[in-house]
Amino acid sequence: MAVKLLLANDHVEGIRYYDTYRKHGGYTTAEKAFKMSPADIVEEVKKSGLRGRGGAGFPTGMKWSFLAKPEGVPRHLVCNADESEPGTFKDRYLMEFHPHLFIEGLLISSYALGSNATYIYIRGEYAWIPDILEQAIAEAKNHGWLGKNILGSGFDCEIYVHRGAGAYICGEETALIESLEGKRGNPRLKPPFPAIQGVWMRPTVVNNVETLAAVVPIIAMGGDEYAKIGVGRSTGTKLLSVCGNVNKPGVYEIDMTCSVEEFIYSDEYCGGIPKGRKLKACIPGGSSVPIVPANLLLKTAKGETRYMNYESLSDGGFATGTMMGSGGFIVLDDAQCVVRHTMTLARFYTHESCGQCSPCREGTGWMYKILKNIEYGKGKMSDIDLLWDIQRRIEGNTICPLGDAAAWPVAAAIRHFRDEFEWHVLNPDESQKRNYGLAHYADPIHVPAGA
Amino acid sequence: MEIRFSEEKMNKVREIIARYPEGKQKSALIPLLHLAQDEFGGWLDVPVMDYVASILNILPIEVYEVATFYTMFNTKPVGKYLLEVCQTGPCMLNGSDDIIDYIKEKLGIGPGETTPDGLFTLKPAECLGACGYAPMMQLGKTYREHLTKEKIDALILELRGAANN
Repeated sequence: MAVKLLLANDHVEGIRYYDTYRKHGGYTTAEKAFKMSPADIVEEVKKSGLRGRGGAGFPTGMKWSFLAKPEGVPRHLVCNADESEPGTFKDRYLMEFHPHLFIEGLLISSYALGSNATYIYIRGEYAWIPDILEQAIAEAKNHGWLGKNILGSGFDCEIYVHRGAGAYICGEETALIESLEGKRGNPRLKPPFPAIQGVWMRPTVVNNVETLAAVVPIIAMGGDEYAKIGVGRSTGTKLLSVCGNVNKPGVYEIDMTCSVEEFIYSDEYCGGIPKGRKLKACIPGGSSVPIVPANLLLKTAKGETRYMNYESLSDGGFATGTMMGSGGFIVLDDAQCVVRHTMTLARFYTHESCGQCSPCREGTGWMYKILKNIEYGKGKMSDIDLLWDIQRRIEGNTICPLGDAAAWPVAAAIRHFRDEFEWHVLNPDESQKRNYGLAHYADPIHVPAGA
Repeated sequence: MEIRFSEEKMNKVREIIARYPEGKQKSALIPLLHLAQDEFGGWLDVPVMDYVASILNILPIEVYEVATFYTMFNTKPVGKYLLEVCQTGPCMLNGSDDIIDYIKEKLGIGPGETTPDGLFTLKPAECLGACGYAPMMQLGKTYREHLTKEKIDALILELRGAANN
């Protein structure tokens, strides 16, 4: 049985409310934290090896240690709850069903970083969740966990919920900061990094919801113990949100030691592929990470078993591997069309590009148009190379990583499924009828990986 | 319609502004635009945006540029019920194309259009973070998930009923 830290109380009815949460050990970790110095908490988080759970996987303790502390200047913790990466809905689950765990993590982290005013930037579409969070905040405040002089420590903390209004780009931390300041979500040039000049030009740490919730078990058990869970540099547990063609979509907590095959086919997790279909491909870490065909998903190019952790998923680089990303696990069965799926992702990135950098603003639109042509039977063979060329010119040429995020899915789709693009060009009538015509994928497991 | 928040709403406005540091009241812009859109007919007409600018003591252009950037702010009138159906990858894998086609056919409107009775606007949307419960749509402050044609029939009946009462 896998270790459960964040969802350990998932079965407890009413865990959303203060009394039940408290009865199950809630806020005892905050009590422990307030007996420690802020520096000690940062040290424990460093020792835990916790990596940012939003997608980039940057070590959280290190990010915290970069925070500037100039005399007389307030600093802020901002929680990134702008979860918008297609395939990802784990933070929503945590906030909706475990709001107090999240608030406790925010409180401990605010204390560690010296943030007297902490903001939760939540995507606007999650319109019912601010009410849940504000209720949890009010309950916590009534019981003395927020407000002035918490537990007699002399530390004051308020947590505010700030609703966005529908912009994927605001999940990028500097765009989020701009948006929190009441502006368009245009990412900033770095440096200066938010740790030096963030919101209102004050030192700021931006962390994902799951990252901040994980601070609770880290402080409860100690950083060293937390680091023993998992494998290598993939320490602790990770939430995965599973969608697409599986029997049991939903949110799962894994300890990063199970194999991809076990994750997809065991009843404890995804429960296999429905309707007796076969696994064709998977995007394991949110729409931005490379799609991989089944054979490369279950085993690395060297033929070794692939595991559900940062290192194993990225084994082989982009040529034959992919990434852990945000944990948005999208599964495609053998009836699905990679061209159409890639087209919807290109449309998504076109819609969400902030328009600041030309390669992304123009490139995402071109990619969508070309993919639409191919999907609807109006494509030419040369379009496939043109697509490759465009994505290559976007990657690395933009202020923020949205450009890369838009380029990678297209690149990976062509890299591994080029014959499917060619099929669309050669069979325009059938592709228009949305007859995916994938008869040539009799056994997708054995499709050879492209160059 | 006079564009002015009620005293009750003004208390909410003051509470929101107080969340941000002194002099940083512009941070309240997005929350206030949500409030204004809910209050003044489901979309942000220019006088509404100007009103929000006056409350925050910022230039109207600062409001326009934000209102036009974020997907959730409607800068044109929309129907009483805005059906925002997700069409991104994970929802597409689970049949969102068919759901969108079905709504188009049933209501006789295309994407972005409103029914002649002013009740429904169809707006295909990009990923709303409900991928495991696909296909889905956003309706006001709630999500409707695991959509089927039958559920769409029931929903439209329900909303027509609610509008007539």
